[in-house]
Amino acid sequence: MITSKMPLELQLAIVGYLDPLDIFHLQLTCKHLNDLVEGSAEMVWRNCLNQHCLRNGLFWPSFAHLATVAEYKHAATAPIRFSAAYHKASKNKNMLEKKGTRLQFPTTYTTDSTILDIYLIPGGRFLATFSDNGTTNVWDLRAAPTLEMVLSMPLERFHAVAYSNVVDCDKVHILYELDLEIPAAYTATPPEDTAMTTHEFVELSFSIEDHKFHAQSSGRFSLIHSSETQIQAHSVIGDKIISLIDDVTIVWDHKRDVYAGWKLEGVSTPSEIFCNEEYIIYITNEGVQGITFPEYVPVTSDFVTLASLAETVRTPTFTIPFERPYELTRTDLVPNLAWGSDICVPVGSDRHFLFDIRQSSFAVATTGDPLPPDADEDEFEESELTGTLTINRYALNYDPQSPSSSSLSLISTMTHSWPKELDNYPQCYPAKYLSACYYQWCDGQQSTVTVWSDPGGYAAGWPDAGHSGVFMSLLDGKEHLKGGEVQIVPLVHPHEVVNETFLVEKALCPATAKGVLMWSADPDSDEWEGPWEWFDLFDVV
Amino acid sequence: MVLLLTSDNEMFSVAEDVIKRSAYIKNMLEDVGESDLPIPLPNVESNVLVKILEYCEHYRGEPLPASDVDPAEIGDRSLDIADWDQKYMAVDQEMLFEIILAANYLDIKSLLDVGCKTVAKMMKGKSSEEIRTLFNIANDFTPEEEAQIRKENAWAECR
Repeated sequence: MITSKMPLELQLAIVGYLDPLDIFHLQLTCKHLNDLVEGSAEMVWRNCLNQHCLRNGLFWPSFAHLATVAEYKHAATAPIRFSAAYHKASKNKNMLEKKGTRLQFPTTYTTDSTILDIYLIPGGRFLATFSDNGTTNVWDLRAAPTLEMVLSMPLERFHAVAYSNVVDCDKVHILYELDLEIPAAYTATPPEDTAMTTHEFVELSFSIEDHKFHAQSSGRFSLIHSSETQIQAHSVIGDKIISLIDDVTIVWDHKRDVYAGWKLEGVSTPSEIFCNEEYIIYITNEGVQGITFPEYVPVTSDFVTLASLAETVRTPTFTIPFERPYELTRTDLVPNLAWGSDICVPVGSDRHFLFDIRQSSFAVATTGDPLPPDADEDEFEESELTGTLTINRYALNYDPQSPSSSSLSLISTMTHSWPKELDNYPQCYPAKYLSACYYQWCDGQQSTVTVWSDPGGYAAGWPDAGHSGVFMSLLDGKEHLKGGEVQIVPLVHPHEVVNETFLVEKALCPATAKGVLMWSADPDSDEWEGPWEWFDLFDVV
Repeated sequence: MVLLLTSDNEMFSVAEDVIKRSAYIKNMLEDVGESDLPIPLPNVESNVLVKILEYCEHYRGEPLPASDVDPAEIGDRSLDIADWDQKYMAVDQEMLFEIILAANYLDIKSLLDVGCKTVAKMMKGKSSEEIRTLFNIANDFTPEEEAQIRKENAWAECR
C-alpha cells in the first residue's frame, strides 16, 4: 500500500475524512490499515462522532458522558445501525422493532401545570419542556426512565417555540414567542383588529462541571400588527432574527438590541429569507434576490408597529432568476417550499450559499369521485395513491464586488417517491396522509436520509383524534442516496397505546433516531390535562 | 526571487510571493532574511516541485491561511474540492502521494488538505476489494482474522 510510506498522522488525516462504513471497509483490506484504525481507535471514532454532530447540528454535550472507545463507536455508528435495522425489517416486511421506555418525572417534581410544548435538543439526550405556569425545564434522559432536571427557569406568558437550533455544537438557541398584553400606550387601531407578537431569545449551554444547563436571555422585541397578519418567512442567523410579515422585512439583532424594517418593492412574496454579513437574501418563485443591510435603530420602546416599518420602501440590490419559476409556499406542512440556508465558508475563492427547493406532490387516482381528506380508510382501498418528494439543491456563488454578476447553479436534484405498498403494512395509514414533516440527513449529505412522517399531519400537523401513532422512517435503501422509490418501514407505537390514548405532543431527533412522545387519555381535552405517558420511541439504535 | 535546490540537483528560481504559500519556506525566509544561497529541498524531486509550484502560482495573491490555526481543531471534514483543485489532482497515484508528502514537508496546509481529501474521496463508497484493487493492496488476513473483524462490526453488514 502506497500510503504506508506516509507519516502516520497523514494516514490518519485521510481516515478522518471517511464515514464509519468506509472505515470498516478500509479495516478489512489489509492488516496494516486495520492496525492503523485500531491503533488510534479513540481518535478515529471520536472524530466520526464529531463529524456526525457537525453535519447534523447535534448538541455535543449529549455525548459528553461517553468515555470508552466502544461508546464513541456505538454513538458514531448509530445512524448506520439504525439504517441496518431498517433494511432488515424492510426485507422481511416487518415493522421496525423498537423499545419504548416510559419516562417518569422525579418524585420530587409535582406537575400541577400543563406542559404546552416539548423540544428534544438534537442529540436526543436533553428534553426541554414549556409549561403554562411560566417555567421552562430541561431534563436529562440519560438515566431514563427517570428524568433528571438540569434547568428550571421562569418564562412569562409562553406561547410557542418559534425557532431552535444548535450552534457550534455546544449552545442551544431558542426563540420563544410570548403572548404579552398590548401596552396601554398603543392606541392607534381598535384592539380587536390588533395583535402583538413578542419574541425573546435565549441561549442555553451545558456545563459539564455542575451537570446543569445555564440560560441567558438577550432581550425582547414586540411587534404590533394586524390580527389577520401571518408570518411569511422566518430565519435566525447568528444574532439576527429575520421575519417577513405582510411583505415587510424585520431584522432584529438581539445581541446589539437594534432593529430595522422595510417594505420590499419589485419582489414577489418570498418563501424563504436568510442572510450573511452583507446581504439579506430572498428566495422567491422567480429567483434569488439580495438587499444590503440598512441602518439599524436601537430598540427603545416596548413595541414597534408593522405599519411604521412599512413606510420605508427599498428595492433589491441584485436579482438572479431561476431558469424556470417555481410555485413555492412557506409552511412546513405544505408541499413546495424553499429551505435554506447553510451558509458556507469561503471555499478557495468561491463564496456561496446553499439552499434547497423542496417540491412534493400527492396524486390520488380513484375509481369513483375524488376523495375528501376526511374519507374513511375503507374508501381508500379503492384508490391508487402516489406521491413524490423532490429536493433541488442550489448554490448561490455570489460576488461581493459585483453582486449582480453572481451565479446561481443547481447542484443536485433528488426525487423520492412514496411506494404504494405502504398501504399494506398493518396499522399504517394511506400515503394520502403522509407529509414529510421531519426530514434530516442522518449520516452525511450523500448518504442515508431519514424522513419522519406524520400521518394526519397533512392537514393540521396533528393526527386526528383516534388516528394517532404512526411514525415512519423513509430511507432510500441504498448506501448512497440518489433518489428513487423510498422504502418505508413504519415505526408503530404499541397497539394498546394507539387504541387507548392520543398523541398530544412529540419531540424527535431524526439524526439520532430518538424521540419522546406525550400521550393523553382524553382526546377532547384542549388543555391536555389527562395523564401523560412518555415514551422513548426510537430506541433501536 | 528565491532559489530552491531539489533532491535531484535541479535549481529553481521562484518569486517570493509564490513560494510563500509554503509556511516552511516563508518561515525560513523570515528567519534567515535575504540570501543568494539556494534552499535545499532534499525530500522533493524536481518533477514534484514543478507540480507544487503550479499550485502556488495558481493561488498567488490569495490570502495565506492564518498561522495560528490549531491543527487539532475539529472542522467539518466535507469532501468538497474546488474544480481547479480537482483537475490539478488528476494525476497518477505515485504523483498524488508525492504531492502530499511534499505539501507536508513544505507545510502547504491547503494543498495537504486537498491531497488527503482526494485520497479519501478515492476510498469513499468502495468495498474492501475495490480499495485493494485501486491501491494494489494484498489481502494478508487469514480467514479467521477477517471473520473476527466482520464479527466486531456486525452493524455494517446486515444490510
